[in-house]
Amino acid sequence: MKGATEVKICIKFSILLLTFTLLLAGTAFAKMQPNNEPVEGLRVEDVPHDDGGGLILSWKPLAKEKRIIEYRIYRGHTPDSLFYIGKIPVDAKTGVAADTMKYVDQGWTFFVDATSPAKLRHEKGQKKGSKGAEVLYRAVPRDIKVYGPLMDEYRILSVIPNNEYLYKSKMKIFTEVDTLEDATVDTTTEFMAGMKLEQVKYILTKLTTGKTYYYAIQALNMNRSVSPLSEIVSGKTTDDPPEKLGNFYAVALRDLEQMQFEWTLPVFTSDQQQFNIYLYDEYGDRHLIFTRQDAYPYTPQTNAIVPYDSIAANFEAFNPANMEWYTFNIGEMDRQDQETLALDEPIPAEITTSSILPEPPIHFTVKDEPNDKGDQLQVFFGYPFYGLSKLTYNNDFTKLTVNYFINDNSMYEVDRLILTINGTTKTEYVLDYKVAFRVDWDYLKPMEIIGTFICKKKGQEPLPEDYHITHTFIFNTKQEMVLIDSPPQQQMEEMKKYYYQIYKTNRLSDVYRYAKELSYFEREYIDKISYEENQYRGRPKFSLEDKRLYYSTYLSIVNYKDKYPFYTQALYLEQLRHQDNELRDEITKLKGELEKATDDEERTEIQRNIDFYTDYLEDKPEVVQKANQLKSNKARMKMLYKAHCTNARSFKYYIRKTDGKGHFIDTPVYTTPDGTQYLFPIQNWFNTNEIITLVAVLIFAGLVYFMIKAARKGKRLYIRPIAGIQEIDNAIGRATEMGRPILFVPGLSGISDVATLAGLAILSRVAKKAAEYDTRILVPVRDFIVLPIAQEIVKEAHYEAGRPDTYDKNSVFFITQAQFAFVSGVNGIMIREKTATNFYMGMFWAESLLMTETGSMTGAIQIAGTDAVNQLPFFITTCDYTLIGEELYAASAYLSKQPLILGTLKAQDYMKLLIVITVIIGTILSSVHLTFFMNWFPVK
Amino acid sequence: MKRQIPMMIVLILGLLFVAHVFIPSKLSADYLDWFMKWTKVIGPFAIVLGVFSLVLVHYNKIKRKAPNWGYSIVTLAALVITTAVGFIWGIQEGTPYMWIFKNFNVPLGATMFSLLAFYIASAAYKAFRARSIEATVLLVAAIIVMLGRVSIGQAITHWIPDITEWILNVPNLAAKRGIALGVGLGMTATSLKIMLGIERSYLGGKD
Repeated sequence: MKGATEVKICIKFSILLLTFTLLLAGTAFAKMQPNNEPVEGLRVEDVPHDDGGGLILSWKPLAKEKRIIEYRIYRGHTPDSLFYIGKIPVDAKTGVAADTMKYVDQGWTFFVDATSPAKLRHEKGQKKGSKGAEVLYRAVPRDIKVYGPLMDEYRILSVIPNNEYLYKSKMKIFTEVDTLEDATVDTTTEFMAGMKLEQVKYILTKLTTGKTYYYAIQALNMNRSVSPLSEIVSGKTTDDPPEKLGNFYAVALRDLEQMQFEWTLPVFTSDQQQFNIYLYDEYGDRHLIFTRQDAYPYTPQTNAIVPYDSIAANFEAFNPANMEWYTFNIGEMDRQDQETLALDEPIPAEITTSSILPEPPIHFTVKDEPNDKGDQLQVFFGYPFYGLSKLTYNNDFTKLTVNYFINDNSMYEVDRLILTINGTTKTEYVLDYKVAFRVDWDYLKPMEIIGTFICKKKGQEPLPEDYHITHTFIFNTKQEMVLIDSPPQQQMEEMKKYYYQIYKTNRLSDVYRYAKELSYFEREYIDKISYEENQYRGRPKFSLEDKRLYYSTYLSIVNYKDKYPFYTQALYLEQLRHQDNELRDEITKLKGELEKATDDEERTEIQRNIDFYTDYLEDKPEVVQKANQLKSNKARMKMLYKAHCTNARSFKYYIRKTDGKGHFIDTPVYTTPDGTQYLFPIQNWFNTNEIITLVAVLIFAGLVYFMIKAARKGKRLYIRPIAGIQEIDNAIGRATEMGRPILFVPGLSGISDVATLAGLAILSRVAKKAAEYDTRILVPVRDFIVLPIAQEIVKEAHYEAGRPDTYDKNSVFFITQAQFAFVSGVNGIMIREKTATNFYMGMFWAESLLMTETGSMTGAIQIAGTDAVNQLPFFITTCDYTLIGEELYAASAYLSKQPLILGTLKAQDYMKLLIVITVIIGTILSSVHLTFFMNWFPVK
Repeated sequence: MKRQIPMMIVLILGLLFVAHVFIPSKLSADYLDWFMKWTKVIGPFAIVLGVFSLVLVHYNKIKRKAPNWGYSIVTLAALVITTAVGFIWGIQEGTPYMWIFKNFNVPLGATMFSLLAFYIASAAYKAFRARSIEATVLLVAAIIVMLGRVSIGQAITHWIPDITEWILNVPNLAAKRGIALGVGLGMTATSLKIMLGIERSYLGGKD
């Protein structure tokens, strides 16, 4: 009868809850206006200064009361091919404050990949099979009949995993026969690499120049109802002239007989081809004196050194003595040869001498980064630097705390920093970035803090004896804080004026690219050189019959002798032989023409072509010659790809120190002592930073081995008694006496957490004991993977205890993954089931106190164990016994009493003793300023 | 064999993971990435086990008309409704699923979490009762640290924030590091025991 009443109450409660929910939902949605108006004011405009691959959409956002959550954008090359391309999410509560919303369709966006929908699908609410304008489609499907023809309407970039492209593509020969005007037949054969869409990582798309595209917008409200489609509006892409460069500076250095130019890049840079520097003579005539190639897709150099000789080669009447007559300007040219000049009026050069230039960075070095997977190079230079991050006086201005930072590098690694203020010197033997001074100066006066360095001896040149860095500081009474480098002093002003630009180029290219800009106080840069995983190819051909995409077949190998900056090789041997035969045929044909030719100029031209083709056939990089002798396509590609990777990931570097206004100086390209300029990052097979860890692991493993051996021989191992563990049996006995169940929570973490494993080991012992006493055990679990393991453990425990009949599979159960929902579930069990004993063994977070306080209130005896330091105070306060940290891991051994397990416990104690001894030795040595021992242990 | 094969797998994989710590090469890094991808695959299969367990426990309660079995109806109804609306309308912003999440799950979770403040007060009362010398030391330290963390402490004397800093940075940190040291060794020992097959309870009983 009591049960039936409870059910009635529950059903009534559920109905009440449902009604409340519906009312609440009704109220929420009642405020919302119907989403029955389309987005208005849609306009499509060309993106200015771009490469003809961008359009800007703008429209008027709908009213806030419409509770719009997103605006969806559809695009097509015709009004009846509108595909979903993206959305702009909106906060439904605040709406859009601006009058206009914008979406820029520019750059490479996702087109299709193996995870795209299989078939062409209409958007929700669109009738299946309907066609024509205003029919919306979801993302482009992986149906080649759909995406194949669409590729013709856009620029396409395919990203293909190396492995698929190089070794698993299917060769196909495409032959095109053209009949020329003179009735001769021209046959073109093209070898292509066929791939299925599944082999391609993804395909990206971008608008193409001079085409019209159609757009429409649809708004989605909180109720997920969509507005009627906006008007379909079209826009045409136009390739515009490039944007103006930011700044341009020209400096003439009389003594070096050279000019230096520097400029800043505009916002839009993807269409750049080159920068042209012009000289305007006294008559206003323009002469091109220098061209800097762009480094697309990387950032190019933004400065140039042009010797007077080079200017004279382009402008014969150039006379350095008349430099003040000349003016200069720079033009940025795009790939369609459209050019924009940076300045409306050319500027005269600053005529000066090299004395104005900064000192070049010293000890510029590049070397392989140790202990990595072969993807980093160290670039470093200069002497160490220390800076001040914060200076603080105490309340009565008797003590000044100096917080500092150090920037050093692999060559000059700082061992000690010596700081001096007003004659008081403090030596930082341990660089903890904090030092205190007793104040014996007037804190209102500006003061200097001088820092000198003692570096670790690594066989490098010693630091100059007078090398020091001086900062100034003053206490500002209004702001009540110490201002650093105030008032400014000459050394810091000089330092802050300049910054460093690192440039690099690899063996595949002849153009330097910008790698990194470092500020005046930085001394090292770790250049990340990622492993190449993909090949990038343009628009493929496609075949509907064999459902394949066909890509061009080449692999760049090297910048060969600078005459072939991108020396490439064909993917297939058959293709290679075909190319060579074609070249030989061409040479034969040219030789025939040479014999017939009578005009000297014509003969020279033919001979030049013959020489070029012959040279191309005969002069090949060594690796290419070797690879092409191989008979297997795969073996050949392996060799060529290895060469490609080595060359693509080998870099040479130089550094430019500049003020950004044309006053810069370059280091020479770094050359190793053995004359190498290109450096290749080497992968390491042992991390030397982990030597101490390895030694500790080996010692610990040895101790475990010897202790287990001793335990097996019967040696009595003394283990410190732990109250919490000793009370486990009593706690189980209490539950048995009271006839109430035991609750065991094996933590909230997953199986990968060692604390969970330790908790499960304890569960095994507790469950066995509970089974022996015939006491119910409840194990609520939060992790899916822990569940079957806990079930198996409890089941085995019952079998071991000889009580398989008492095992209830439902006693180990999953509650939820939500942290606080799990707590409420466990608390409910404690209160309803009136558990006599609660165990909490494993990893816990903020929920720990919620559970144990409830357990405390129900009067259960509670034993907890965790390695979560922040939760320990809560367990200690509310539980009867707590296993602190390592005791959790020891509990299983205590309970089992097995020599094997006790042996590991004893080894643990000895290891701890060893660590304590090490800590004491380190403390004593560091206290007498002997830091070598401390430095053996790397800081993580 | 039922136990030996899993133990062999544990030993081999355990050694490989230990080796990964000392070998930074690309092969080692790739191996770890590859393995992590596989562990992600196991998750969805385990969800089925969890949901099955939940349904079974509450179904049996309803079937047996166990005490409070009405709550099981609510639990199963919530499970079915949430799953159904998630499958039918999706889980994006604006769907009924998100509405349930925001209006039921989040406030209920926040309610449980907010209870923590009261429980902390209750636990603090128990801990700070000066029944022994240790508890008195704890009480005094707690008062200093609490005062040192608010501006009134600075107003009383600048020593309070200084002592607070000292308590947190010296004895407190030393104790924390001591525990962390033990935990580190305990973890290593447990891992070693599992790898060597000394600790086998995770395989389900039988030492």
